[in-house]
Amino acid sequence: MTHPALTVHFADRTGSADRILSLLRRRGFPLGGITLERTHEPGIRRMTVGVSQESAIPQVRRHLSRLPDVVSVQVADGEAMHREYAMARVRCTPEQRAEIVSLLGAFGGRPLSFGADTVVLEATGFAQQLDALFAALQVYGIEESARTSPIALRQEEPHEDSPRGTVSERD
Amino acid sequence: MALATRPMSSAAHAGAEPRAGGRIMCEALVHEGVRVLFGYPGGAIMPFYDALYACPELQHVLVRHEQGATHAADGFARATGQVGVCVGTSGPGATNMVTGLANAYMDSVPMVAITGQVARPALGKDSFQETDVIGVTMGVTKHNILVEHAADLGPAIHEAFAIARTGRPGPVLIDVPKDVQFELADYEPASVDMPRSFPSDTEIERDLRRAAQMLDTASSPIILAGHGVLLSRGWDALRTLAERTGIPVTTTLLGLSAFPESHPLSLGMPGMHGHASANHAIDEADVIFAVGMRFDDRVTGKVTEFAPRAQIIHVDIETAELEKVVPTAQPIHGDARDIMERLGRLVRPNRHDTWLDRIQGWERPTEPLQDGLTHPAQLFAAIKRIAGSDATLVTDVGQNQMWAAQLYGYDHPNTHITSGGLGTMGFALPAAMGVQIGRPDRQVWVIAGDGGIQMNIQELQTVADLGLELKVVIVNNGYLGMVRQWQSFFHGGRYSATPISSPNYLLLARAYGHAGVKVDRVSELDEALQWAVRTPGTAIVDVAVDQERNVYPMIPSGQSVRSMIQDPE
Ligand SMILES: Cc1ncc(C[n+]2csc(CCOP(=O)(O)OP(=O)(O)O)c2C)c(N)n1
Ligand SMILES: [Mg+2]
Repeated sequence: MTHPALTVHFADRTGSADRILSLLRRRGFPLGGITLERTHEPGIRRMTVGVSQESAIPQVRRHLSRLPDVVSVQVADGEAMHREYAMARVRCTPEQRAEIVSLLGAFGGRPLSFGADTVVLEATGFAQQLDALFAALQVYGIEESARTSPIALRQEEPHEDSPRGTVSERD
Repeated sequence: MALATRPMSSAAHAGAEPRAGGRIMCEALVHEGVRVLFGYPGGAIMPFYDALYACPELQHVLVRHEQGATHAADGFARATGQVGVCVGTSGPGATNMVTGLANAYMDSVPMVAITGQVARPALGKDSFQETDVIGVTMGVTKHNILVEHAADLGPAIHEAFAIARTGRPGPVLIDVPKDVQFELADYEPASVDMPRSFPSDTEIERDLRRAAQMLDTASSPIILAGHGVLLSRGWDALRTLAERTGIPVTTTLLGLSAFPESHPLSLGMPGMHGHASANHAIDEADVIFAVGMRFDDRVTGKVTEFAPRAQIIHVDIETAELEKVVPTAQPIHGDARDIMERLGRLVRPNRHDTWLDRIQGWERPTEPLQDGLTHPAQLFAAIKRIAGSDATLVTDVGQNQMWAAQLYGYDHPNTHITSGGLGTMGFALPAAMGVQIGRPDRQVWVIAGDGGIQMNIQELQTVADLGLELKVVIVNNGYLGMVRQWQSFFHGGRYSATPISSPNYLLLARAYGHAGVKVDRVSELDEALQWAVRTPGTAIVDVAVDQERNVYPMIPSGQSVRSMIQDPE
C-alpha cells in the first residue's frame, strides 16, 4: 500500500538527518517507510516520510517544520509519483533465463547479471507493482533482496499553501 | 606601565586578523550581548577558558556542579528575557548538563549551552571523556550544533542565539572539539535573523475577528493564560483584554504572575492542584481564550472531559502546539502579546457579573488556622507580608511548589519562577542565583522542600562566592512529601522510600558562611522571616510543617474536575 507522504528538504549538516528521525521516533507518529535522498542542490538533502494515518499529517508536518535544519515540508498526496527501487538475487537456471527476463519486462525490472544458477536483477515501480513482482519471483526462489521505501515527487510545484503557517519556507 | 593597560576590548578587535577558536567564541558571545556565563572548566574546554581569561566583558560564574550552571542560566533567562549561557567540558561535564537542558526545553527558556568536545581526530573512538553529546541532547534541545571548523564558530554561535530566542524559545547546544578551539580563523560578527513564517495579515485579521466575535457573544467565558504571556512580556495586554471584556483569568503554573491575583477577575491556577473555582469555571465555560499555554496533562486531566462545553480559541507561537491536545474552534498562530493587543482593540467592552458570582460560589472559605506547626497557608501569607512587593519566588518541586503556587498571590509580572514541564527537584537554588544576577535590585526567595534543597545544595558555596542575598525557605516535612501524598492516596499508605532525613540546616548555613534560623512553631514565623530579610547576605529559614499534610484540592492524574479531592479538614 502506498502511504501519503511528506517530502522534507533539509540542510546537509552533522546530525540533521538524525534530528529528523529522532523527532519522528520521539513523538510516536504513525509512520510508513522513510527514504533518505540526495538532490541536485549542493548541501540540500531530502527525505520522503510515509505517514500511515492521513489525519496525522498536519501534526507531523508542523513538528518537522520546527527543526532549524528543515528547509521545507511538502505533502506528496494523490497527484505525486511514488516509486520504490529494488534489487534481488533470484535462483535461475540457464534454462529459466528467458522466462525471467520477460517476467521482469512486464513488471518494470531488468536483469543486471547472471551467475551459474542465479540472476541479480533490479526493478522500479510503485509499491503494488513490486509486491506483484516479488510474489512472482518467489516461485523461483529469492535468495536475497533489498527494497527501498518509496520516494515521492509531485508533478506541480506545490502552490503557496500555508495553512496557518504550517509550512515554514526558508531560503 | 604596559602591565597596567587593560586588555583591549576583544570586540574592538573584531575582524582584524585570524584568531583562535576560543577567542572567536568569546567575541561572538560578547557580540550577542552576553555579560555573564555559568560554567565549569575541564580538559576539552580549556582553550575557551584560556580566551575567557583575557575577555573582561564576560563574567564567568564558577558553579559547583554543571547542573547548577544550567539552572542558573535558565533562571537568568527567565528573569531578564535574555538568552542564558552555560558552559561545560566534554563527557561528564556535558552529561551533567542534560537535566538543565531538558528543563529549559520543556519550559521554553532561551538558553545557549556550550560544551567542549574531544579533538576531531579523537572523535568516535571512545576517547577519554568523549560522549556523543549531540546524540544525547537531541531530544532535549531545540537544536544542537557540532562545530567542525573554527571558521564556522562565529556563525554557529550567532545562529544558536537566534534559534534560542526566536519563536518559541528553547535551549541550543553548541559542541566544540578542543582542536577547533585552538584552530585559527577569521571572524566577523554577524547578526542572524531567523526566518519566521506567520500567517498573512489578512488571515490573522480574519482569525482575530472570529475570536472577538466568540468572546463578545460568550456568556461564561474565561481566559487561560500560560508561560507565553510572560515570555512575550504580554502582561499589560492580558490585563487590558481581561478588563475590557470583563472575562476572568486563570493562569497555569508557568503563567502565574502574568495577571495580578488580587485582581477581581483573577481565578488563580487551574489543573491538578489548581483552585477549585478555576477548574469549575473551565468545566462550565462556553468560550475559552487559551493563550501561550499548551494544554499540559497537569492542566487538562482527562482530555475528553476537559472543558466539555467550551469553544476554544488557542493562541500559540508554535503551530505544532495548535490542535496537539484539544480540538480548537479557532487556532491563532502568533505572538501572545501581539495577538492580545490586536484582539483588545476588536472586542467590545463587556461585563460578566452573574458568571463571576457563580464562580465566586465555588471558592471554598479558607479554613481557620490553628497555632502550633506552621500551616502552608500561614507560611505563604507571612512571606507575602514580609517580602518586598516585587520579590520573586523561585520554587522547587513537590508540595512546597504547589503551595507556593496556590497560596502566595502573585501580583507583579514575572515574580514566580519554577520548573513546570520537567518538574526538576534541585532547580530552585541554582535558578535563584541566575535570577538574582539578572535582577540584582530585587529580593529573591527560594522555596524548596527538604528533599529538593538537598539536590543542588552545593551551590550554597557559589552563592557565597558571589555574595548573593537569597532568602531560602525550606518547607521541612521530613518527607518527599508529594510522593508520600500519592502513596497515601493511591498506594495504601505504604511510604516506600519517602521519609527523608536532613542535615542540621543551621550548621550547614554556617558552614557555607550564611545565616540560618529554624521555625518550629508558627508563632516564631514572622520574626524569623523578618530576621531573614534584615540579615545581609543569604539566610536559610528552616520551617517545620505538618509531616503528613497533603496538597488540596487534587484531581487525580487523568481524571476530571468531578473527581476533585477536597481538604477533609
Ligand atoms: C530530580 C527529581 N527526582 C525525583 C522527582 C520526583 N518527585 C516529585 S516531588 C518529589 C518529592 C519532593 O520532596 P521535597 O523536596 O521534600 O518536597 P515536598 O513535596 O515534601 O514539599 C519527588 C521525589 C522529581 N520531581 N525530580
Ligand atoms: Mg519534603
